[in-house]
Amino acid sequence: MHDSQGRIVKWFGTATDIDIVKQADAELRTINQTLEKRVAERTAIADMRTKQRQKLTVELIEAEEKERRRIAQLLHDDLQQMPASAKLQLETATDHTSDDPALENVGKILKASIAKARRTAHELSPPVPRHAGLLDGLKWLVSLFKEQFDLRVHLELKRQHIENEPLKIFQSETGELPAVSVIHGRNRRSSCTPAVCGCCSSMTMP
Amino acid sequence: MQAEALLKQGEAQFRQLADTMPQLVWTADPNGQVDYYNRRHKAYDGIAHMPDGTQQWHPVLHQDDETPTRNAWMHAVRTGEIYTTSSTGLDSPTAATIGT
Repeated sequence: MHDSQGRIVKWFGTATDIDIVKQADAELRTINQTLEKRVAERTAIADMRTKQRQKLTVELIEAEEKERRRIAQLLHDDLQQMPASAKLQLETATDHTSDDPALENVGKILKASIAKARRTAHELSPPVPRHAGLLDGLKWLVSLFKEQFDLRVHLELKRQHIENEPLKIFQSETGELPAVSVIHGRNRRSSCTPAVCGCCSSMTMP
Repeated sequence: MQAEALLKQGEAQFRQLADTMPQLVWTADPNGQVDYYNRRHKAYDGIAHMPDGTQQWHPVLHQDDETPTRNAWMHAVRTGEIYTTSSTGLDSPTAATIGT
């Protein structure tokens, strides 16, 4: 307050308690920090579970692959040898001179069964994608479709770094593709996107 | 005599008003000596009526705030400027003080 000459005659002041505001402020900061920490923790758990799941999938695929190889080996080394041996013995016995159509037919059946066993063993344990990258694997698959089913497959790549995708999972997915193509038939255009690498590639089968 | 009675009445009205406020209200003489606090000062341990009629208020402040607050207040007293400061009270209240 000033007098008529402008001199101070009295000071007047107030002090406001803003403790509640400060406390709320501090509390809010703590809550935010806790929240960030919780989000980080949950994210870490989710990441860990994803990795575990991926590891399990790979293990499962490896087990399946091992079993496929075992059966393929059994076919090739054991079962396939029987008709081969029978064919050899038949040839020795008839000395390529018999005109008996029944024996000739047996020979044809034995030859066909050898071929079938060999093809089945090969399909059970495909040689290509085991060591190649995903891109090579997909290309191999395209050629396989052309060769086996006379299907033209259009390979469309949407991402550049597909080489890093887990190859094991790719193998598992592509293992099912021939079956899918048979179901969809030859004349229908169908698109098949493997689940694991769905974001990076798609295969269209006309 | 009538003027003095009116003055007393005015002062009583002011005190009544100040005591109903949730804020700490104070007045000081032109030299900066605090000569009045409203009832709210009871919430602050450390504000004391001195025998010479002045009020002691510095112990209310947090140690770190005492010098800056005192300096701001002395500056205001010297220059007549309005001042605002914020400080941490010892007991609980964090106070924003506005001087006029």
